[in-house]
Amino acid sequence: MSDEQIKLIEEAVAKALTGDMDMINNIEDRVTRSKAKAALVKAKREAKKSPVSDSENPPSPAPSKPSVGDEKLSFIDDVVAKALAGDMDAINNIEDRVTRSKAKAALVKAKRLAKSSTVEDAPKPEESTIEDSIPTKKSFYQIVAEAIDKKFTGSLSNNDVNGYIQLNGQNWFEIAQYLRDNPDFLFDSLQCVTGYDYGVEGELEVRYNLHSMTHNHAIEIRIKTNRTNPKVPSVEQVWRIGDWFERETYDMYGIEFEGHRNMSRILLPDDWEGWPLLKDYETQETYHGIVVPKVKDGWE
Amino acid sequence: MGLLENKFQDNVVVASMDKLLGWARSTSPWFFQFGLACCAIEMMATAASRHDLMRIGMIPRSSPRQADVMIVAGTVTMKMALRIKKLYEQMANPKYVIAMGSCATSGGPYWQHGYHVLKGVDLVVPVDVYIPGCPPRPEALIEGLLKLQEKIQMDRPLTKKIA
Repeated sequence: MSDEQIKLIEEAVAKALTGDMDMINNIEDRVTRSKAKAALVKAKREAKKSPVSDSENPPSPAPSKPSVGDEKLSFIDDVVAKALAGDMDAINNIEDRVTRSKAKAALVKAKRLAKSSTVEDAPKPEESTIEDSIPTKKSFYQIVAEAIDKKFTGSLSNNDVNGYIQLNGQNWFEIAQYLRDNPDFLFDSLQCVTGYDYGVEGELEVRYNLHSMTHNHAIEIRIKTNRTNPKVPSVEQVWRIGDWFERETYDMYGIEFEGHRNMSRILLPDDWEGWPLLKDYETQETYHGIVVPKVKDGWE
Repeated sequence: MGLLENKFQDNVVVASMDKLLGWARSTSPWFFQFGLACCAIEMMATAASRHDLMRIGMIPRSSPRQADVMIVAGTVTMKMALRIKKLYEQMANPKYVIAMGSCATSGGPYWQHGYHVLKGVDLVVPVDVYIPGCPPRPEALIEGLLKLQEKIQMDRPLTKKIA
């Protein structure tokens, strides 16, 4: 047997052990082929006898052995790290069956280790994934603001949506309907309507607190209006509770809600003068002949 | 009772018509109640079984036309003041008013800054008895009612008043 033949047999056996039987089968010389097959059987038997040793290529020359093993080990480590991060494709794509099964075993071991050693650390990655998947307060405001801006362009007063959404009152009725009916938001509950006075030289503002019973998320909407003729579209027909909320805001601030079907005072008598929660409110002197004293002296 | 004393059998009481009427009226002052604030809770407690207003002859009525006494229990707002006046005018004579609690007597905690609160119900209707307290306990209310009974007893409805 020539050196060439021996070399060919060694190569073929090495290939065959990694699963590629073509090279052995393609050896043209019958004698050489049968010798190679015999060598393969021998190599396999040896691998079975000593599973601790590197079983992939026992007939391969000795000097190359440790380096290949190290490479494989580091490769398995890499793949296991990837799988722990959630990428199982890296393991499943390993072509060599033995390496694949080794990698899988290493993965199981690593997982068990992580579970047993760090019980407190275990929920941490879950938490982070929850935070990633569910929008935080700020990003949720941004989502809603973007959705409103997309559907009703120009109705957002500014893009600073940290904690509330500032609208300018345009299309407020339609926006309210959209927020109530859109399956992503479903703001089915108007929790509060408040007026706000920015001072004698400032503006007035109406604030709406919306809440979704289905999604359990909440949002605040603010609409500014001028002081001389304060008017804001009514959402009384979107949320029925808005009827009384808006009447109270009208009662205290004089903000008129356009489209409200019964825009009248709710707490104070109908013929009361002025809007009590405005900064520049002056109490009237008499009401139907009864004195309305501002401050009574002498009782301090 | 002077000359007529001991001239009759037992179980016969001799009195002047004025005193008799005063006694009858003072022992059955039906009261017209409307709860306006937390004082109403104390009034309810007074009318309930523990303090039992009915033992001094007081029965709550819901209509001003059947009542002798009006107990103003609670904060009187400007809006309510006009209605209180109207209700008082609907009561039949003789009629009495009790201002219960500091809100009804003087405006109470809304004395200075409550633009919407009437500073004492006596600005709209004449008040016979003032009961202080915030709110007054049932004992205080009963005390006030007994004071009112004394006052009713002193009335002389048949005597011509000398102006």
